[in-house]
Amino acid sequence: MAKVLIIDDDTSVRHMMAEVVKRLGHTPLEASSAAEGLRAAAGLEPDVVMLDVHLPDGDGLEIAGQIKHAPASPEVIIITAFGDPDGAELAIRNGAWDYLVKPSPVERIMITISRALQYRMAKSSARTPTVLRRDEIIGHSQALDTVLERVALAARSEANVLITGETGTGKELVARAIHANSSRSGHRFVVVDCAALPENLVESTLFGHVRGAFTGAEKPREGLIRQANGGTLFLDEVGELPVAAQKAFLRVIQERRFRPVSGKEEIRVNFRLIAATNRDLEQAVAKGRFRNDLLFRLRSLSIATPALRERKEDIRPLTTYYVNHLCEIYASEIKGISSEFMEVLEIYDWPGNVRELFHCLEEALAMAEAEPTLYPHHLPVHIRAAVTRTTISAQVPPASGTRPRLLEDLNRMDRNNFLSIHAFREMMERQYLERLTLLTGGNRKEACRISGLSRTRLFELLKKYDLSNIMRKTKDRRCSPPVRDRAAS
Amino acid sequence: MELWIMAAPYNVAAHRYVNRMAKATGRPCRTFPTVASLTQRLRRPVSGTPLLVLFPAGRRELENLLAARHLMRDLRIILVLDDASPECLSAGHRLRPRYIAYSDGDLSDLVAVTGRMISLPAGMFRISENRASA
Repeated sequence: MAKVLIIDDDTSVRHMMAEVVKRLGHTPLEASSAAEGLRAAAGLEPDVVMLDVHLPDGDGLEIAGQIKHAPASPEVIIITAFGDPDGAELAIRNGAWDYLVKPSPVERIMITISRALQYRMAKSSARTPTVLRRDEIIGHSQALDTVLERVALAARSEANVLITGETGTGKELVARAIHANSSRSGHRFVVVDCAALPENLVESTLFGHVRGAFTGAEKPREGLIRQANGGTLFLDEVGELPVAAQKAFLRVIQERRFRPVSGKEEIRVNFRLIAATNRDLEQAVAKGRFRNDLLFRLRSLSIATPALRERKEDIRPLTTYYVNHLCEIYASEIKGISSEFMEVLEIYDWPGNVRELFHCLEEALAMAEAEPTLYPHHLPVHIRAAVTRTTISAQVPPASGTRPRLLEDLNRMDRNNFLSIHAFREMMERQYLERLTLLTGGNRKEACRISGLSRTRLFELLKKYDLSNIMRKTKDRRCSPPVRDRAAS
Repeated sequence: MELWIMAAPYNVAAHRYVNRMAKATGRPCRTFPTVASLTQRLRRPVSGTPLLVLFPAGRRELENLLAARHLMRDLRIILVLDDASPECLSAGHRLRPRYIAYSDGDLSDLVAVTGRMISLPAGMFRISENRASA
């Protein structure tokens, strides 16, 4: 018998859901607010959580992540009275099991709950305690934990894996971790850098060639696919693979055999395939640059490596690790890291991700020379400048009489302190959102209606300017009298 | 992007390659005659991200490079082997190269891949023949 927690402020909906759960032979648990729901998710260890989006003290989509990371890691089903495709997409992206729109037929609700429980059961039976070799994968953020869970899952299976993520997010590290934790770890990990291969070299590099296959082929040569036999073949930047080679490679994946260039006999191979890309392969398929059937084959299991700005809590351990590592390489005393230095690193957005952080630290250490501690002035100028701009933008005080009047201020600025259009746009955007929050009393639906923003975009912007709390507090203030009334009654 | 090449002075293939790349890039390549000289340089900060092209002389030098792998950080590596035995290939892959070439070939593949990795105009390193199956 499983436990299903229903978080909804509508008593009749809760009771109806509870009846459905009982009919399925499980135990219903109920909560009428976000706070109560979070407590129940943490303390009662439910298997599934049915979560309403519009709660009196918060937004279901916002607490879905916290619920997912409760001790029992329940499956979350988002349920709401309002059809909202953006919200649905956001819920699924945040790891929700499914998204139901009220009113949903009882059968649909039953099927969704049953499937979530079946999945959970299968997941827990497949889960064996694993000590994961992480090597250089540093950090303990939720985003990274999600990646490591997928790594462990991939390492236990033989499925093809597609790793996606921006440049510098560590896609190759993830691929190596899968290999290192798999049953193939005693064999080779062979890298094919698809971006480095000129089109007319791709096939001979992958498949090898026989003697005399072309001018200069004085000896037969094993291709990388053959070299990966028994181990893992890693196709890096797979989106750069020429279309002709994609066709040939698809056949290798399907049949696990290939013919070297100008060879007569086919060779059987046994390798595990991992591919990575920073491109949108769906878009490449739409433009005819990537084969749909190959994409389908590649992503039996997919892993998305998060950008560093999405896991800023990892900047501290990453920095400590890299500074110590570099000091060790340079055979110098381990340098101290000032809190100001760390603060700058945590504010910067890191478009080049972990790789950029590493190079920045290398540059900072070079600048610091014999100084024992790293300070912000050791950092590259472009990083300090970007952080200064962000900090100044964020210091615009909310809803006060001292708010800078942007256009007037702009008229007073000269060549030395004139803002970039990016900084100006961000200041405008922030002020707009603050005013919008006050005007709507924190009501997001109303804020979306007035601004014309989608729910997802509004979330993104509030998060970007760190205004989610202000929105919530404004709503709390607005909602507090009815809550007191209800408590009194 | 800078090219850093590790090869013994008597390595004929490396000598040919260095000359071709110097001609293509219009500037001399940075060369290191031994693993020790390369590791010594890698123990100091590296600005930019040079491409490392390594011509180890035999299995032993390859093992020495492997022992120094942690110094190569996330620098991109091209490995040129003079021995295609399974042992050397396995050791070579542990060095995490982006491409493996062989010094007994005509090096046109090596020049083409290097050119692409350091973003030289395609005309400077084009391979005249298509090495694909018909």
